[in-house]
Amino acid sequence: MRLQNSAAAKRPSGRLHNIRRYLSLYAMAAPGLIFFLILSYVPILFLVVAFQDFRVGRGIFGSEFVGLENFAGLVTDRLFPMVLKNTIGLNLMKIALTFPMPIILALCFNEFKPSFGKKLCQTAVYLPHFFSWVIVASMLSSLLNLNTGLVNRVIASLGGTPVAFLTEKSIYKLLITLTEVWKETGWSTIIYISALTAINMELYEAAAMDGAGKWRQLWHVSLPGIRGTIIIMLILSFGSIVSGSFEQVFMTKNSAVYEVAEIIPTYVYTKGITNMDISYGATVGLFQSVIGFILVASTNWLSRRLGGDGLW
Amino acid sequence: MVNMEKKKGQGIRRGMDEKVFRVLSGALILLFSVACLLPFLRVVSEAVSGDTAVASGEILILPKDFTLKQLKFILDTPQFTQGMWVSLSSTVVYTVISIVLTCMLAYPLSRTDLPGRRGLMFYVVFTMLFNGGMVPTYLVVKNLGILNTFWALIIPLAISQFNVIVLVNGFLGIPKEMEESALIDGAGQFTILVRIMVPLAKPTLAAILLFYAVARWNGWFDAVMYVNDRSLFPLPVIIKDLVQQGLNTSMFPSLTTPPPTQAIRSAAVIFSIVPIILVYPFLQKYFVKGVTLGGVKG
Repeated sequence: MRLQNSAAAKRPSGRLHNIRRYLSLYAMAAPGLIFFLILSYVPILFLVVAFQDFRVGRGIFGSEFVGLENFAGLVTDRLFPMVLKNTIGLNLMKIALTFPMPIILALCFNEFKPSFGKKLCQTAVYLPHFFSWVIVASMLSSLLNLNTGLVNRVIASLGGTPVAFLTEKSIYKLLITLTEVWKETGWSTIIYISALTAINMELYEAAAMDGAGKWRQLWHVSLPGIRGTIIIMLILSFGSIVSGSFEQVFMTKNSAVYEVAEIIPTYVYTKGITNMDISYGATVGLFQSVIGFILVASTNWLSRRLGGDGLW
Repeated sequence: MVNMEKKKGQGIRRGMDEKVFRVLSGALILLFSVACLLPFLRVVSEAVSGDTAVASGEILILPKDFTLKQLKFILDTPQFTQGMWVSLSSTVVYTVISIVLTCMLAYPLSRTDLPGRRGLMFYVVFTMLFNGGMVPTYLVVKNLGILNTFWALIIPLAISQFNVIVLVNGFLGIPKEMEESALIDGAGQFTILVRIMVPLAKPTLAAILLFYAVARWNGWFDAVMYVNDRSLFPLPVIIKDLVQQGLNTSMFPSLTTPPPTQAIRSAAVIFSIVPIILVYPFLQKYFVKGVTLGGVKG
């Protein structure tokens, strides 16, 4: 008691002290806040170039405003419908395959108590996450090369005809999706495993007492226990339906598969950076940001409306 | 009696169920683990195998005609060593700057009594949900005058919102009394952050340190966007060119008879992977914690 009293006496007087404390906290946060101002909020303002006929020489303030002309360009652009279709198609396939896999694998891991073997396997499955897409693409081309690739050697030795996997339009999206399953499934289990360990063991015991077998426990205890996490991950993945992994596609697309490979982010790069059509690139990018935001917001709204969790 | 038998039957079935379940789970885990490791082992084997064996696709998993020629070639070729140097130096500078900025932003955001905290948090998180995209960001970087400089690899991605959230949650886990007792001792906020919060948040910091370092070490998109000067290309960009264009002899004049692309490529990949493999097992427990903290709603 006395200790507290003396402490209170030593503490500089209340409000003034608090204001000083807050000021130094704001000062501390300032560099980070300025970073986001310049590299996230100013670019949002710079989206104004989507409504301009931007000329590098004239800059943002000197370029002519053209209203919605660039957006009209989206409609007349021969390639854009194809790009949009590819983006949505690829992402839907990704959600269908890469979304359930980590949940299944996490449920498997959950079956085993901590042990050296389990740890070793977890170490192994997290590893591909740390390889960049450059490296994964290099591995892929070595595995799937038409003449020297391992897979085609196996096919040939079994008497089959080698397949040019990397230049085959019909399987490009599946190939990309499976590569992502390989690379990210393990990493994504982390979040589900931690949600699973938070489930009260008594629930399992109670279910077992009631005669529920493993499958029923899975359905009635494990899955409801991680429902919140699943929903949040699902909302996030819906938000990226019109975006996608630039690095992944940029590394693997080639002229043979261009028609099915080009997605919005790579198209923005080609238009805006390679061809320096700044205004049109920004327009396609704005389209992507807006649709992505609407998708996240509406999935979030829907999830909350249905009584579930949301991001906010 | 009938009842008893029924119960017993159920018990056996349940036991079987459990066994089947465990065997299936174990099999899937093993299968996936092996599938994750094999391509990696194969790339190592390709890097140290004889070039004819690699070129004819004879490498299954294990190396053949062991040689260090390709690895030596990488170390003898200035383009590669330059790239490694750019990668290494930018990773160090980037990680230091990013960690400092992230700490300075996350600590105030973790003080629950700070007026406007929720608004500031929204200010940061909103940029994850909506942003200007590639082209406007390029214009900003251009206007900052850092295009084609070393800083183009540092500044544009200096703070990751995800890592801020992770660290805010990490700081929130530290009892408030720690700050209060330091305040009583008359410590300023910077002193509290450096002397008390940072040491207590070490596991979380280890996680975001790994995230930042790996992002820079593996990253090449920003280099492709903001850098044209070959001497500023980090290693992944050089490997990217190797993968996409094959071994261009004009790019490697030191070489009279180029070894096959695949072996060289794998050797370059090894130099890109090994640093990660070396630190990875030691940081595993921290990054698991980091990902988990990031998932907690702020």
